[in-house]
Amino acid sequence: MKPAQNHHAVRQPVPAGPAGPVRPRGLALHLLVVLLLCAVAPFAHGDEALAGVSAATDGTAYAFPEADPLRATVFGTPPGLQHQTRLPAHDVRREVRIEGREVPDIFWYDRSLRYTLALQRGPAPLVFIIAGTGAGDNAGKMRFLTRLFHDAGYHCVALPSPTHMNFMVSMSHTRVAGYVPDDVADLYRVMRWMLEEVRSRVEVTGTAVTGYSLGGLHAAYLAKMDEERGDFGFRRVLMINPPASLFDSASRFDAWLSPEALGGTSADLFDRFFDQFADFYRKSERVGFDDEFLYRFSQKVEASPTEMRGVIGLSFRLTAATMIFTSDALHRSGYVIPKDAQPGPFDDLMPYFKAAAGLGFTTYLDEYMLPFLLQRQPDLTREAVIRACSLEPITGFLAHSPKIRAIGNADDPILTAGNLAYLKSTLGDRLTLFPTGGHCGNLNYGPFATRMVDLMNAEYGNPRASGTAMNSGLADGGAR
Amino acid sequence: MTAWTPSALPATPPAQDAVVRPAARHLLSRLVLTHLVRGLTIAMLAAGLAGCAATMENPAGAAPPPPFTAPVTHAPEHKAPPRDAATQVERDDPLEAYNRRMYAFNARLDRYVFLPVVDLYETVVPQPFRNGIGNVFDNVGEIPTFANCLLQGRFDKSAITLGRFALNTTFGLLGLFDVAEGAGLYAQDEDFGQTLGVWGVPAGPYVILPVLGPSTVRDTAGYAGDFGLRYMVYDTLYEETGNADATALRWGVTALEAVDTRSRIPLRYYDAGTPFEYEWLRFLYLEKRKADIAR
Repeated sequence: MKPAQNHHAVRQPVPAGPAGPVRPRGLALHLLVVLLLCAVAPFAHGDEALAGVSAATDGTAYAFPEADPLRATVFGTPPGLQHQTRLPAHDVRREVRIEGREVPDIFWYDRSLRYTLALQRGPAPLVFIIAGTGAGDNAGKMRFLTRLFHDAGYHCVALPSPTHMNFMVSMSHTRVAGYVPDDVADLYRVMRWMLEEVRSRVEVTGTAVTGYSLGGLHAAYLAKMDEERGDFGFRRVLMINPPASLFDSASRFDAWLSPEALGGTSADLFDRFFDQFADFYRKSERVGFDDEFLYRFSQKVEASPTEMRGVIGLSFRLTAATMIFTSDALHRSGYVIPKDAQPGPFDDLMPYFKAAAGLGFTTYLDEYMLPFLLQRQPDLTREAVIRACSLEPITGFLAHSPKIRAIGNADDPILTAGNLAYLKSTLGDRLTLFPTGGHCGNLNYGPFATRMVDLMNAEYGNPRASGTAMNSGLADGGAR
Repeated sequence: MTAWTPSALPATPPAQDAVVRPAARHLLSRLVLTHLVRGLTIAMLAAGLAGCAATMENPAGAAPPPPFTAPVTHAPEHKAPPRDAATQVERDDPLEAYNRRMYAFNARLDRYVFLPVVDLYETVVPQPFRNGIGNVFDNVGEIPTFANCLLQGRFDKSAITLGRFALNTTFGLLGLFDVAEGAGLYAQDEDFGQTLGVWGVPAGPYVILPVLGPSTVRDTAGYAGDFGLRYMVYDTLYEETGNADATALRWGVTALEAVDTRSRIPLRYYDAGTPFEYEWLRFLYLEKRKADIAR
């Protein structure tokens, strides 16, 4: 779930130093980052009256420029409107591994879980931030959230999604990602360890948990589990653009990518987009792929709503392919890799990439996840699995817990009309809905970002005493 | 509990008997000092924090997963997958066996040698100074770029590059500031590999070079050309400035350039969150070079 590619926005904004911005240097690497964020990313999303939910637009003028939720989802916030986080950022990348855990050689580089710490110097509340589907702790949106809350005076721990390959390889007990109860149990365990780790370094005055997209759904479940076990004592849970049901959303993505919906194959879709991108680059006056470049491309790209949906579906599909391959290789289950011919670290993985990319999340559920779960719990049903991966089982908790806050957009394309109605009726005025922004497309748009901090501060009384940490960020994003 | 920012650091009290220095110089040295203090502290913090992976005891997590066989298989030998987005990413790679090994080697070299140095560089040298350093190296790079623009017969780009070099070397204080960009003269990206491509030389097989990473046989030859030209430029510079024999200086500059280059490439190996990173990078590199030659 990281459809847009705002990674530059959350990297250090280029300070207006004497030398000005340095031109990014060549190689396909920038392109890689851009495309992977674009491609490996989606989780992504309705329009209804705001009656009954808290008015998102009070006080600040909400003028998000992209009215199309699909484009907002894919391209995010225009550079000039991005909330600027402060310099310098104090995040430190850390690693932890499970002692004695066997990891296949092919994943030699993923034995340890990579996570990010951004700590205050003195006592402060701690926010755990959970990434969206397939995203790591350093995905663009994650870096933004980490810096946002760090700026606001919180200690931050940023974790990859349990659906990210690094988490699957290094931490997952079942090594089968996507089943929410198991994923949340893994997260809970790892976070407990991390809390100890943070406490050994700094004073923690309270804890909170947040996450975007699927990470938002995880956050709610973590809070529920914490309520029962009491390891964290979360006082605030902030769900950012959460899905109401993983499978409702996943089914939408699969449907958007179906040949019937596309009127062609995903290969044609891919080619059409990539060719436009390459063509735009060829004609561009400047080299280097920054936010400005992407923004100009977004204004230029020709794509029907069907194609935009296809792109979102495709990026989710590629994320699913990663999960499928990774789980299969960890289990040697013979699903996309022949059981007796496991690839080594230097072998061609293209055949498996192609095989896995052809499947999709719902197929994975039926052919892999469900059979796996049935082996452990024979009385489980498909319906029960789907329900367990939605907010429904904790509706009572969500409806009554004063800790819960949610923030999202009324036009989020990953949400069905029913999903949106559910969120509204369950959360009432603890749900902040912005009229536009798609799925996480306005995450780093000033008013949205400010609101996230306000929702957190309402519980913790603004740890940054003066409150001046927030600069409203309409400033120099696109300035050269 | 204010956050730790340079402004939150206590200002260095002016020594009572200090000679009054020009304000600008004072400011500069304060800036440097502030950054040094901050940089070193962060560096120590980072060293302490980021050393090696911590371990957690978790016997259940260390245990192998329950045996599981998928009831159906989509393993590739059973049927060829139909054409879809993933098939579009595939590229010929006759040197793959070697390439993947070199890729893994580069990743380790990066992790254990380059990145620690780059981290230190980024902590100790503040961003504006790093921008200046990068600009100076880019400015020297305008010379090979100009040569390649000419060789490709691209006089528009040659003019832009020449203009940039002239402006930045003079008003930009020997390249320290990219004033040309402000004047609408954007940096061009032309190298000898592209020139060969424009001349019709085929790319040849994809190859991962030691340290340098993704390339092709043609781009490797091109790289040698650019490198030679760059070396000549530096050689001339050293001779003109009377540093022809300053070996330490030469190595220092080369090292700084390497660190500067790496610090400006955001890629971290094996961190793309997909087991197919090698395949993606290969596709993107080859496509980008194609676009570069066409532009």
